Amino acid sequence: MNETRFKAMGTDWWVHADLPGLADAAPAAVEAIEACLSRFRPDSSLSRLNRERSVTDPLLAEVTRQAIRIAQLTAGAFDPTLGADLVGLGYDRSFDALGGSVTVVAPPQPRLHLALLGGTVTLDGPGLLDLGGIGKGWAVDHVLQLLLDRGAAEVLVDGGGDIRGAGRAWPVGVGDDLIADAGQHAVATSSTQRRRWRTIDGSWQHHILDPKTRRPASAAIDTATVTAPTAALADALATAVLVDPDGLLPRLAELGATAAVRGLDGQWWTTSDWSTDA
Amino acid sequence: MTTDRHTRDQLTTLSVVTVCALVLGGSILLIARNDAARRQASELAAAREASAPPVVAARPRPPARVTTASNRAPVRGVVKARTPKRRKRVARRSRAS
Repeated sequence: MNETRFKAMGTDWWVHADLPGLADAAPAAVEAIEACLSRFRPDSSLSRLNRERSVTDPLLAEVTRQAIRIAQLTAGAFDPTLGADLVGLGYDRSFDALGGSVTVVAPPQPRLHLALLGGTVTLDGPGLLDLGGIGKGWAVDHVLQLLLDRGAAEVLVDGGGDIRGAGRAWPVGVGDDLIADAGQHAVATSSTQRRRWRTIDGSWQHHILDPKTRRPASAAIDTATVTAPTAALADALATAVLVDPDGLLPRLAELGATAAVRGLDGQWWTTSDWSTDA
Repeated sequence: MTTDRHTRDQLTTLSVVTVCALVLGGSILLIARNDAARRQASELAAAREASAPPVVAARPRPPARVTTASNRAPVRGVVKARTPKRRKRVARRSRAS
């Protein structure tokens, strides 16, 4: 078989490689990443880090390093240090397990500081590290590279809508009518309309927090699709654009990225360099 | 007998000629009256036009462009999405998950 489907990281995966059987390596690779980065698994490296405040794990350190870099590039609109705030808002278990109403318990917390030394990540200050805004994209990049390294020429990896391909043009649908070429750039979408839950007081929450308020971001758009050189960057930028669209959208070209966003009235808008001929 | 017949023929010819002359004369009179009426009407119209105030900006201006929220970008740095000219088959769809 040239393709495989599986469930991991709380979403559906689809992987295609042009060499028969090669795509079968993808589930184990993603599982290894989830075992390291999941904040819903008590034995993951990330959970240990959040408990013990310092962990040595090269994979965790690499993803954390990229997360810090993107946080700097986006002037803090992407912020991986809001784990405690998400837990406080009730998102304290995998979304599949999040049923019914939850109680908001945690007040806003002071800043969490991260320190990286080789493969060791250290947390300083209260709060929890959350790599949910970049982990899936990073896993897409990793699986793509793995399959290319093993000899595949044409690959397409779709991790729950974070998509990156290689070897040929891979037209990917965006919104109602737009198209992006995942063979040239990674494509990722975030939305405040997904992963929503109701708190005990009846109010709706979603998983994209504004670092300034530490509450669910409220913007004039509800969905953002970003194309970028890597899926990790596209994934994180799609989140950051929902937090600070006015600040980031005019700057995306500097980061090698483009975006399509949906207004609250359902209409789609793009940065001027979004390619319509993908 | 022959004279009576000749006279009758002449009388017939005369009556036909008379009827034709009457019809022709009537037509000429009618046309002349129509011409006079038309000339009078056009003179009247010209006089009315001359005394009427000039027409200014008779051509209506185009209606103002309707601006709704959907015509205005909701955020900075974006333009209205242009859909591809041709429909293309896509390999996958990017979606929030």
